[in-house]
Formats: sequence, structure tokens, C-alpha cells
Amino acid sequence: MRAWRDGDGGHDALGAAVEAARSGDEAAFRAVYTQVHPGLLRYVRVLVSDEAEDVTSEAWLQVVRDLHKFRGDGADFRAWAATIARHRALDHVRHARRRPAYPTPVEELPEPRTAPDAADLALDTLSTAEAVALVASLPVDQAEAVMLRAVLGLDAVAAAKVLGKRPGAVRMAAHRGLHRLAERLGATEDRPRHARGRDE
Amino acid sequence: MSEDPNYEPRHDHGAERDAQGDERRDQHDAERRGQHGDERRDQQGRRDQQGDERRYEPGDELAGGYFVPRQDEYGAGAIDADTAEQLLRGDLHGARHGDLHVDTVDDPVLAPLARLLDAAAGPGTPDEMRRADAVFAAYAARAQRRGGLRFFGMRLVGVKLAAAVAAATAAGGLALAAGTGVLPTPLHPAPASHTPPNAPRTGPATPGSPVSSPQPGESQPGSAQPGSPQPGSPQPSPSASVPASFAGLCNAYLAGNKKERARQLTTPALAELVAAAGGEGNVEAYCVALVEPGKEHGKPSAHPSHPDNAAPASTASDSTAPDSTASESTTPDSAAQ
Repeated sequence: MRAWRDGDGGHDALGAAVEAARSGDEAAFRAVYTQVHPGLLRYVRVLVSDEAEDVTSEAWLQVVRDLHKFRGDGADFRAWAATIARHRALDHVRHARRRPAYPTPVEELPEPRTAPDAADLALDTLSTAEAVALVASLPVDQAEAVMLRAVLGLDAVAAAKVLGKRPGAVRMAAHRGLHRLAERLGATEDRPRHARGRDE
Repeated sequence: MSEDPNYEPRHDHGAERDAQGDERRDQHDAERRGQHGDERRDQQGRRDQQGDERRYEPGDELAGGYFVPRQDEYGAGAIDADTAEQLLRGDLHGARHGDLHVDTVDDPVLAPLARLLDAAAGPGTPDEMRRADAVFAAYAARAQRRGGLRFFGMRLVGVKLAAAVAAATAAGGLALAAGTGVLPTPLHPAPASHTPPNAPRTGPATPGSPVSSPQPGESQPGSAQPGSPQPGSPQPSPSASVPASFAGLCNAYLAGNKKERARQLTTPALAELVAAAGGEGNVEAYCVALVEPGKEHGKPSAHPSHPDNAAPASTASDSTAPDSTASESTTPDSAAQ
């Protein structure tokens, strides 16, 4: 079950909490944070694996600062928070590279990181961290698309807005990411067959 | 990557050819090992099993203008466009969602994939929440500071009144701070500690009575009451609990780069601030929440019709103008700092 569903059960509980948080309701803000932060952090991890916590905290401070300007429902808030977090993450990548300030094309972001070997993971007891690490091992545009859609619960249009791309391109990236993940997971399924073939 | 929508079919087709090539190579290898027959039967068996669940999907046509069984693509199952969408939305959880056409429970490809995505989107862990307190503290400080602003429906009036209130309470806060030994620092020279209540130190005083402001019915419990502050009296108020000198310290702190900030944190001048923020690690959050409403108060008339826009532009901390339409185009601004 996707955690982001819990708050969007028909009546947009997240949107209501955001609205209350805008007018100073601290308990509502805590609810918003509790609901949105895990997905946001996991998304940021795809962009800046080691500094994800710092970057996500920065993003939340900006959310706190600008919350009074936000208008929209729960899904809009997720997209807004993701946009802020993405900008903070890209800033971070840029500063880390000490390069002049111009937008870093996604393609130039560092390629991920240590990919866990899907074959070594027990799928039945796959932890969130392992699952995120597997997604993060995709090419970054695919990983971003998968995370925004499956983990933050954005639709293709909202995810495209966050990424500054067309919905079709984001859809395609997400689908390719799924194909690639299936390929890796399928490697575990196929392995016994190949092993048997060699043994005979 | 290309954003050309026509890119999709070409890619799919290419991937398919590659996959088929892989399969041919696999079969060739198997043939050399004398396992051809077994391997073929095995694969055929998989295909038949898939075929039972497989339906013709509109997305299949994208693969090159004709129906191609996608399960050959990676040799291990099918993910068409519709199925991928359902996986991403988390809708693929079996027949109980009546309108769905694939039951992932038994599917050798979709079931693990759905499990993977569900795990990635699972509930937050305590580990992930360990920075929550700093963010909550920042929110609390911010909400407290904004209380006066949100008290009035009309922003312009609200800003002016808030400026007057802030100035008056700031004077009170200073008096209180001086009285309790929290002395202003050189960064923020203190006015006389007995500032008359009606001579605010900064900002345009609003001579009219605040009580005549519009929509008093919107008052919120706990928000700053414009008529209530009694400068010099020790009653709790936002600026009484936050010494005014902290704003100056915070401005100086936020203006520095990472290195300078780290150095500043070690100086005695910031000791009080660090203590109030609850540790060196929280100073930034504390300051961001503290300083920026102060800036709004300080320049209430600079952008009378857009009081909010003044805040990010004048802030010393990093900023990307964030609204729901924020896009890549705003990134260079924030990076230029």
C-alpha cells in the first residue's frame, strides 16, 4: 500500500491539513510533515544520496517560510514541496561541483551510486530503504519519474511540472524505469532456469 | 533525452529488437551446449502461462504499428503502458479493485514490481523523521511571528498595523531584555531602554487606533492583539520571548556563507542565540523563521500591494521563489547567490 494514499482518501485530508497549517495550526503542520516528508526524503535521495536529509530539511524550511503563499489541494502541495526540494537538491549538486550557476541538465547529474543487486534481495521482505536504493540505481531521469509518481503520488502532469518536462516524456521515463526494474527483478526469477541449464 | 512524443515507439521497437537479439543469443548459446530443446520448451511454457493472462492492449500498437507480444521484450513478462500506469498509481493489487485487468498476485513480473514500489512508498520510518523537531520548531517560530499579520483580512492594513505592533513590542522586548541582562550586541545598537510606548523605534507608526481595523471578527486565539501590548510589562509576547537583538544576530549570521557561519557559531556573541535555538544545528532554522517576518515588518511600505513578494527578494538566506508554478526557470536565481 502506498503511504501517500492514506491522506487522500476521498476527502483530501492532506489538503485540509495544509490549509489549517497555513493559518498557524501547529498540529496540522506536523500532520502534513509526517505524511509528506518520508516520500520527499526518498525522492531527494535519488538526486543527492548522501546529503538527502540536509537538502530535504532545507526544503522544509523554505516550505515553512512560504507556506502562506501556497494555494491548492493536497496533491498540489506534494508537487509544490517536490519542486522546492528538487531545486534545493540541484543547488546542492551545483555548489558541490563549484560550477557556475546555470541549470544543470538532469542528464549531467551524477549517475547513481551503489545499486543493490536485485538478486540478493529477498523480495518478500524488501525494506523501504532497499526499495528506494533499487529505484535510485536507475538512470536519474527514470528514477525521478518513478519516485515522483509511485512514491510521492503525483500524476503524470504534476510530475512533469516538477521536472519541467512534458507529461509524455515523464510517462516514458517512468515506464522505462519500470521496465528496467522488472528486468533486474526478473533476473532473480530467471536465474534458476539458467543455472539448471548449465548444470545439466 | 528527447521529449519528442514520437520517441516512444522508436525506443520500444529498438528495445524489442535488442531483447529479441538477446533471446536469439541465449538460444544460440543453449544450442552450442546441446540444451536447445529443453531451453525452448521452458521458454514456451513461460509464454503460454503469460498468454492466459495476456490481453491485447492499445499500448501494444505503439511498439511499431502492429501487435507484438510484449512478454518477449525482456524475456520475463509484460508491462504495457496501461499496466505501467497502474503500477505507478499503486492500483495493481488484484481483483478486488473490480475495474482492473491484471491481477498481480500471480504474475511473475508484476507482483515483484508492485511489491518493490509499495515498499518504496511505504510508511515513514523513525529514522526518516529524526529531523522533524527542527522543522517543527521553525514552523512554530514562524507561525508565532506571523500571528499579527494574519489577524487582519486586509493585508495592507495588516502589514501597517503589524509594523506598529512589532515596533511597540520590540521596544518592550528590548526593555525587558535589558532588564534581564540580555544585552544588545554591537550589531544591533540598542535604543534607550525606556523608549516611550508611543515612539516606535522603527517603521511607520499608525496613528489611528488599531481597534478600528476591518474584520476584527477574524481574530485568532493566541495571535498578537494590536491593542494589548504594554511595552515594558513582562507579559509574554512573541518578541518578549525572542530578544530583538537576535534579529540582528540572525541577519549577520544568515548573510555569511557556510564557512563564516561556522566561525560565527563559535563566537561568544552568538552564545545566547545558539542557546535559544537549542543548539548550533538549529540556528539556521531558528534564524530563518525569526528574521524574515521581521523584514516584512521593517519595510511595510516598500511594496504596499505585494507585501509577500518583498520577503523572498530581501531575504539573506537562499531562496527560490516558490509557488505552485515554480519551474526550472527559477533555479538560476537561487543558484546565483
